[in-house]
Amino acid sequence: MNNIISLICIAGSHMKFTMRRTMMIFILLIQPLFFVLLTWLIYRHTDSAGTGTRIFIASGLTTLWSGIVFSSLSDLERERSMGTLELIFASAHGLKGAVIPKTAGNLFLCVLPMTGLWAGIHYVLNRPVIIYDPWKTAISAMILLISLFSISLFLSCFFALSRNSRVIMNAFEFPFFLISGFVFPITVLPDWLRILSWLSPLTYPVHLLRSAMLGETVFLTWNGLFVISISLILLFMCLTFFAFNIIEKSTRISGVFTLS
Amino acid sequence: MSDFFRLSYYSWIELQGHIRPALLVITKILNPVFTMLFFIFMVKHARPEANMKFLVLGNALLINSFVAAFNTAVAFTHERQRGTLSLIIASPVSRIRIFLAKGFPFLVEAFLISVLALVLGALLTGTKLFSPSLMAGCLWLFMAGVFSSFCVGAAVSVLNLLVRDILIITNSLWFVMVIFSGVHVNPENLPIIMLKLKPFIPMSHAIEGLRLITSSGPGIPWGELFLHVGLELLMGVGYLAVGFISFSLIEKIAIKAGRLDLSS
Repeated sequence: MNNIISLICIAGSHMKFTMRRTMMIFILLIQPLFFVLLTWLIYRHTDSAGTGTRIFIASGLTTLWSGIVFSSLSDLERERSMGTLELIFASAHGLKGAVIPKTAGNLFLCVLPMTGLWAGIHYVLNRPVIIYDPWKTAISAMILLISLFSISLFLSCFFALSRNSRVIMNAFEFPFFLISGFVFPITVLPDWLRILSWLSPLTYPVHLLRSAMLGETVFLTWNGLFVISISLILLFMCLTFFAFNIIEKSTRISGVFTLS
Repeated sequence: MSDFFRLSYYSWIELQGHIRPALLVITKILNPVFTMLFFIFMVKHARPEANMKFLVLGNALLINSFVAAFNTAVAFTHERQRGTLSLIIASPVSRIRIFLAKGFPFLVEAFLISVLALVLGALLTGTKLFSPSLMAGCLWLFMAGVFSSFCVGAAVSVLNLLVRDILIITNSLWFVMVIFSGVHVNPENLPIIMLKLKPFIPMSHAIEGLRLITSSGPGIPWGELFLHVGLELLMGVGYLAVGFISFSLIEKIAIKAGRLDLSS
């Protein structure tokens, strides 16, 4: 019980620190506004049905992913540059005990702008956000968040070890927007890019949500996407568990806490 | 002159030199190309009839030339973070020369990345662009666009003296350029207020030039093209002038305040 309380405390204090960072304000306010404006301007003169929903999905998903990449992963980079990553590793909770609440806290922060996005698109732009299947949407959203959490934890293991994380981080944003169908379905892409889409673990939970919200069946039914998404969550959770254990063992044996 | 290039070289090495070749490929080639493809397919999804030639050319220039603005501005952010910005300002060497020398390698880099992204973008999307006159027209517009982007970066870099973190400003500037440029949103679809602001947004004239040469049939209207090139260069010089004037003002305020770093 004490452990859970302390993890919640870590998440809480982490969220307070994060909200003081200007980059987080950019991710939570300016970037969603940009995607709303851009998708609205692009779609405003098209006859496409469910424009409001498409704008919401595009801006919401890009905010979530950017938030995860530039917060959870850059947090580790920051700890590294401040020289505190080793201290975290040696603390009572260990690396796992610090990364899990930080990632959960960041995810919680990134979900917050969704209400504002919905209200803005619905009332300011006057584009109703119509949800095709509310129950499936709620389930899909939960699965998407857990998927992002598990993928983020897995990536954290590598970012904790690599000195080049800040350089790589930027390459995690737009390429994944493209191949995972954050803004448009992957059927728009040419065949060679679609191969990358199938390999991306984000494609399935993202299309699960698209399918529930828009009622579109792109390349698999909602049930098929559901099964794959759950399997991917389990896979990434297992991989994360093993990766954390390997890091811990190798660091204790070698006495060095880095890949590069 | 050799000092200028030496400073340019050190500036590039400081910001990019430590990156491994494999990571350079990811950040300088793969990421820009994928970003470009993202915007191309985004527009294609909404407007299947959109001119693919213009989308490839416009995105190659818009997405990649921003490297010049971003890195020029960020080069001074690094100086600030390391506490050396005050030393640069206080040095007897011309500040204008320092600012230009530090930004120059990013101007060259942005141009090379834009051209490379154009070639890869055309190959990956199967767009036929390679006619000599079209390429000649593009070359002029790309040079003007990258120069203008560099000038905006130099102007924005002055803000390093006023605010602690200019990344939020540079990233927001990129968003403004993407929305206003007219690559993704047809100018006639922009709200009137945005349409009125558009001529003052960097890259907008170069992008209009690209629209002109991709929709004008086999012949290139060179007169109109050079008008767009001229307007883009003029805008770049304008931004540069604004940057230097505001720098002089900030410097005067700093002398009065007794400190160079005004935000501390």
